[in-house]
Amino acid sequence: MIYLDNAATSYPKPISVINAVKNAMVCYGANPGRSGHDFSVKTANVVYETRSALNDFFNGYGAEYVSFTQNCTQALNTAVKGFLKKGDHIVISSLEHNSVVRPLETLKVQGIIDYSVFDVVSEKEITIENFKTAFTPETRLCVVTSVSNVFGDILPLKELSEIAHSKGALFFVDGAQGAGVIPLDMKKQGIDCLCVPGHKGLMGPMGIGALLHKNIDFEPLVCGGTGSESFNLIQPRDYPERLESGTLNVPGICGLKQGLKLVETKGTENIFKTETEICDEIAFGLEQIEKVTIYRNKFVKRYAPLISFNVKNLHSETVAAMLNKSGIAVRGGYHCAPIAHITRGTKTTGTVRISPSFSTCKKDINILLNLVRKIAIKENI
Amino acid sequence: MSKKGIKVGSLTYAMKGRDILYKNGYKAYLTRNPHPFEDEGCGYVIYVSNIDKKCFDILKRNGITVKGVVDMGDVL
Repeated sequence: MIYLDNAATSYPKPISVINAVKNAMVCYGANPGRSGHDFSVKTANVVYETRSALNDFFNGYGAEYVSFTQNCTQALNTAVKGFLKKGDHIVISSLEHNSVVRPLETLKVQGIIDYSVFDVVSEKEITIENFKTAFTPETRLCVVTSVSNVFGDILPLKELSEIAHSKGALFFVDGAQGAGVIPLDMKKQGIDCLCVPGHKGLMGPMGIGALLHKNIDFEPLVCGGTGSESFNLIQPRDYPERLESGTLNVPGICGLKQGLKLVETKGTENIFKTETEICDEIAFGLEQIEKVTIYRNKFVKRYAPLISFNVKNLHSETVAAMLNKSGIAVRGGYHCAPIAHITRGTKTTGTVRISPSFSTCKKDINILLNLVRKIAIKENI
Repeated sequence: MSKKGIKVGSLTYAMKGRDILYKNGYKAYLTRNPHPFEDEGCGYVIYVSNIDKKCFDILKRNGITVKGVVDMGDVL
């Protein structure tokens, strides 16, 4: 199999991550934050080290403001639902994933909030202007993705956060596709809350994510045991326990710690450069194939390392299935980002998404391009 | 002199406080609070063998709220 679906989850996982997960089952088998024996404290230490490492990596606001979640979706739901109040208005981009759109639409249908969508286009200045005009006097929050999971657009987070703050709104970022792929610096980019998955660019296992934030008053999405203030029937106010009820995914946390270490060692900029070169090569190859449409604008200098394309009017799922038959794993369809397809005109077919990793080799690229060429020639389209 | 433990709000704050005090030259450890009140803290305390007023200043400077001091008795 040639795996080109790293935007869904990175694969293969580094051996250090696999070993860390296995090792955790043996060496960190006690419940952290519950008991006072050495084994429990040892496990709590590794959890704390991972919080600190995440905080340092994203230049956050302290290890206590790093909460572990199951995934990025849970982090986004916790942040959005935990922050919003009745009557609030929210601004989101046209490239948001359903992990942002669905919680907001649910709250909207319930009559609690309202939201507006600003269109992200290839010209940064127009995008920023669109953002400004989406605000209302009730806007209290902006939620923006760091990178489009469909088209690879990188959003101008710093510029957008400055506008949001000048209008009195907080700025939350969905780091699903950006974490470990592009530099994300909470303080420099004015990010009040950052939601990340552990299993994509950070190279960790599935089932672990994190919510990094300023000292914001979040209502917890889930309440329960925290190992603290047991006689207090109200959820404790102190972070991160406020947002972390129930036993943590320690093997996932240990795997994430190793994944993060690997990304730090390689360097986000180096990973980005390598993967961008691979994508540029794929994009160049696809451009030579008649009937193939690539969804990239030549005037945009910088995309995240993924490419969306279609072969004439074939549905993207058909093309992805054809590639799968030849052992190539890519993703077709809508990528859980409906507004992105509506605004970019790919609602009918969806897109075939190629997302390589830094270990994708030239041979794999050639096999992919040859197969796409064959599909384009063979199909009567 | 009896041994004292510093109570803070969460286990994470306890660990952060322990590391900060350690970096400032204190022998700080994390241990379970042997005498917790019903409605307080994370259940863990920072035990500092050479505790003094400066410890509290350092914790405060680093944004860690001290919720009290507990007599560790002979559990250590």
